[in-house]
Amino acid sequence: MKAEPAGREGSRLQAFQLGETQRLLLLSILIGVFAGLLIVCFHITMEAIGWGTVAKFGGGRLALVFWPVAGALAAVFIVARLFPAARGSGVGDTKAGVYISDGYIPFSAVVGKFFSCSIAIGAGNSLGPEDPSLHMGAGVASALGRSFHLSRESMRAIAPVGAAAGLAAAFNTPITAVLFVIEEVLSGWSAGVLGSIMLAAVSAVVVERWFLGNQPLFAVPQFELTNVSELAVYAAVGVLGGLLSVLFIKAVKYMRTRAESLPEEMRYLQPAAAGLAVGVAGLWLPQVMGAGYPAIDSALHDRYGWALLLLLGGVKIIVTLLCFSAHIPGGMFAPALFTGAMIGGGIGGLAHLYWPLPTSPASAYVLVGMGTFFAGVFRAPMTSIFMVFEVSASYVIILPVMIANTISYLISRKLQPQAFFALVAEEDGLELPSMEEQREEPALRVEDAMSPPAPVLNKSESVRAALATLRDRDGVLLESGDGLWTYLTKAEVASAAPDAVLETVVPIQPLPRVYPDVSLDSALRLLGPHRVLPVSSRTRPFTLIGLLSLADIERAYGIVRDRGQGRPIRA
Amino acid sequence: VSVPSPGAAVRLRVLVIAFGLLAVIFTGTTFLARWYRRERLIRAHHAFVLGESLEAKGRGQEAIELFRDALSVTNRPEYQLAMAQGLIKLGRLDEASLYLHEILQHNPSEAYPNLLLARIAVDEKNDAQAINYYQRAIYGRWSSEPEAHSLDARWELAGFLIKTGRNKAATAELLQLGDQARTTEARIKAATMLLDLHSPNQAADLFREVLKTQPLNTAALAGLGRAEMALGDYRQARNAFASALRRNPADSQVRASLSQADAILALDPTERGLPFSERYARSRRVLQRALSDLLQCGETAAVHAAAQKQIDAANALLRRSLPHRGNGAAEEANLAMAEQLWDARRQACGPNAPPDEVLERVLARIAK
Repeated sequence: MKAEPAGREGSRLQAFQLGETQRLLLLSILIGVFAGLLIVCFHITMEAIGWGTVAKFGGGRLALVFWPVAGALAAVFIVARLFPAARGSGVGDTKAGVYISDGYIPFSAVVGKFFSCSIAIGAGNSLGPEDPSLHMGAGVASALGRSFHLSRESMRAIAPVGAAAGLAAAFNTPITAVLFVIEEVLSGWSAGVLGSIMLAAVSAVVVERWFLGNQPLFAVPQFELTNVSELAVYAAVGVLGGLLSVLFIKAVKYMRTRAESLPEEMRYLQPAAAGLAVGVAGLWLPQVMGAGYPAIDSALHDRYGWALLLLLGGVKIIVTLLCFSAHIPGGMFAPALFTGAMIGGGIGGLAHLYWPLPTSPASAYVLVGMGTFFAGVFRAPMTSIFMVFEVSASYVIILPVMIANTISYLISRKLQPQAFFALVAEEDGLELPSMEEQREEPALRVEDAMSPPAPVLNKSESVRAALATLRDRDGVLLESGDGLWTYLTKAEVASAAPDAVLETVVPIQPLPRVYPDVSLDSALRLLGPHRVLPVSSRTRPFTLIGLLSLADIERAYGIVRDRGQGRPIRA
Repeated sequence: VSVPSPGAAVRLRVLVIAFGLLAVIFTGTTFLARWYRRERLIRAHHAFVLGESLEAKGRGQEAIELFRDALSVTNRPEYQLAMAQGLIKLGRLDEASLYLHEILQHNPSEAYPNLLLARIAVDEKNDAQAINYYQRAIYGRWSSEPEAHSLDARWELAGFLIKTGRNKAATAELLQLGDQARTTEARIKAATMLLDLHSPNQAADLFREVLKTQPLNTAALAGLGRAEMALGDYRQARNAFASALRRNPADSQVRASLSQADAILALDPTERGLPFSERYARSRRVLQRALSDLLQCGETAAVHAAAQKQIDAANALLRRSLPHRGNGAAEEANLAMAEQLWDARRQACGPNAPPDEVLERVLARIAK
C-alpha cells in the first residue's frame, strides 16, 4: 500500500526532470515575472515618494530645494550603512557579478537599490531608474538561480537574463533591453542564452504592462523627413552629442577622482551639495529634476523653444554630473536620454528657424537626439539606434538616427578611449572586461597561422615511395579519396612491408578540414588529438592550400618554444 | 525506467515555493497597483481643479503646467480641452491644436473642440478649414444645451462667412438660423443680416413671420420697412415705417426712413391712379432734380462740356408748358431725359459723389 504513493511521487519527479536548457528557459520566465513585479513596485514607490515630496501640491519653493537634499542624504546613508552591496549605478555591479562572482549578486543589493534609488530619484535627484532596475533584475535572477542550485556556468548566464528583464520592465522596451545586455553585459551568447534573455524581457514587459498599462514611455508624434538636406542637421546633432558625451565622461572622471580624495567625514557633504544644486536648478527649471521623462515628452510635442531646450540640456548635464559624482544611488540612462533629447531639440529648433531649406519641427530632433548622447556615453550604438526605433515605432527615423548616433559614437571613441561603465568600474577598483574592447580586438584566423602545403601522398602509392617522401619529415598527408586527407607518421609507414600499397597497411582516418577564415580558437578545438589539419578553400574544398599544426598556432600567438624542453620561452 | 535524481525533488520544492511566493507578490502588487492607479487619478483631478481655479484667476501659465500634470496621468478629454483652452488664451495655437486633435481622434463628433479648431483656423487665415470645422461644430455633439450651442456656432460661421465675403453661403446659413432661431431677437437679427446681404425677399418673409406673433414689434416693423424699400414697394415700406413710428415716435432713424418713403411716393410718376397733370408735373420734378443733381456734382467746365447737350435739352424740356393732350409723350420725354442726365451724372461725377437717394430710387422704379 505504501509503495503506491512513493511511485506516484517518483513519476511526478520524473516528469520534473528537465534538461538544463529547458530549466533555464522555464527559469527565465519566472525571472521575468519576478523582475517585472519588482520593477512595478519600484516604479510605484519612486513615484509615491515624489508625490509626498517635490511633486506635492502646494509644497512651496522651499520644499523643492529641501527634498532633493534630504533624499540624497537618506539614500547615501542607506547604501553606506545598511546595504553596501547596493552602491554604484547598476550596470557595472551586474557585470562584476557576472565576471567576478560567477553570477552571484547578493539579494541585499536588490533591497538596497530598491529603497535607496526610490528615495533619491523620487525626491527629485537627477538620476534615472533604469540601471538600478537592471541590477535589481540581475539580483533577482541570481537569487532564483541559487535557489535552483544552478551550475556555475548557468549562474553566469542567468544574471544577464535578469538584467534584461529588469531593464525591459523599467524602460518598457524589450528589444532595447535585450540589445543592451548583449552589447554591454554579455561577452558572448548562444541561442539558449539569447532565448532566455528574450523570454525574460518579454515576461517582464508583459507584467509591467499588466499593472501599469499599455502606454508607451513617450507618446511620439508622427515623424517624417521633410528634406534630404536635413540629414546634415542630424549629423550636427550627432557631432554635438558626441562632443558633449566626451566632455561628460571626462568630467565624471575628474569629479569622481576629486570626490574620492576628500576625507571620510565629507561623505555626506557631497550628496547634500548635489541635492541642493538640483533643488536650486529645479526652482527655475523643474524639468531637470528626477528622471525627466515628462519633460522629454513635452519636448517631443514641441512645447519648448530652442533656447529652453538647450538650457535644459546644459543644466541637466551639470546636475547629473553632480549627483552621479556624489555617489547618490541612481542610474544614468534617463539623464543621458534627457540631455540628448534637449540638445537635439535645441539644434532642431534653430535649424527650423535658420536652415535655408525646409526642416522638420524640433520634436523630430528631440527623438533623434535622445540616442546620440546615449551612444556617446555608453558606447552601445546598436542599443541607441534600436531604442529610438522602438520608442518611436517609426521606420523613417532610422536613417537620421543611424547617422547621428554613429557620428556621436565614433567621436566619443576617438576622443575618449574608455567607455563610461569601464571608467566607473575602474574608479570603483574593478577590472571588468570591456565589451567594446572585445568587439574591437582583431581575431586571429587560420590564414594568419597556416604553413604552405607539403607533398601529399596518394593511397595507391607504395610504402617504399612513401618512405622516400618521409625521409626528412615526421609525417605527411595522404589523400584518402572523396577529397579527404589523413595524416601518416613515419613510424606507421616504416613498420609496413616496402612493396605494400599504402591503403592496405595504413588505417585511413580522415582529418577535419579547416578554412582560412576560421578563427584560431575554433581551429584549435578541431585540432584536438590531431597533429595537423588540412586547410582548403571554401570555393575549392578538395584543393589543399595549407597545413595547420599546434606549432603554427603558437607561432601566430607569438609563442616560441624551447626546442629541448618544449616550454615556452617567449610570448 | 529512469530513476529521478534527488536534485529533481529539491528543484520541485523550490519551484513550488517560488510559485507560492510569486502568487503572494502578485497579489500584493495588484493591491499596490490598484492604489497607485486610483491615487494617480485623484492627483490628476486635483491638478485639473487647481489648474481651472488658477486659470480663472488669470494665472494661465501655472494653470497650463497643472493641466499638463493631469494629462501626464490620463488623457481625459476634459483635461485636454481645458489645456487647449488655456493654450489658446496664451496664444499657443499650434500646441492647442494638438490637444484638440487628440480629443477628436477619439471622438470626432465632439462639437466644442471643432469650434475651437475653427477659431484657430480663422486666426491662421485658413478659411476652408475654418468652415469645415464650423460645420462639424454645428452638427457635432454638445454635452449640454445642444440646440443653443449649435445655433451659436452657426451664428459664428455666418459672421465669418460675411466677413470673408462669402455672401451666398452666409445667406444660406442665415436662412437656417431664421428657421431654427427660437427667440424673436434672433430672427430679427438673422433677417437684418439677410437684408445687409441684399436678400430683401427672405428678410421681409422673416420680419413678417415675427410680426405674425408680435404685430407691434417695432424692430420687426422697421426691418420690414427697410426690406420693402429694398424691394421697391415704397407704399408697404411707408406703412411699416409709419406703424413703427406710432409705437416708438422717438426713433429718428425710422422717422428719416418714413420721410424718404413719403418723398419717393410723392415724386414717383408711375404711381397708379394719378391724373395726367400730376404725372406730368412729377415727371418735370424728376427731370429738374436730375438736372440740378448733375449740375451740383459736376461744377467743372469739363463736366459741363461733356454733358452740355443733355443739359441744354433738359432746359428746353423744362421750359415747355403743360401739353393739352395727355397721351404721355411729354411725360415720357421728361423721364427719358432725366435718365440720360442720370447716366451723364454717373459718368461725370463718378461713384464718390453722393446721389439724390430719392431720385435714384424713383429712376430705378421707372427703369423697371
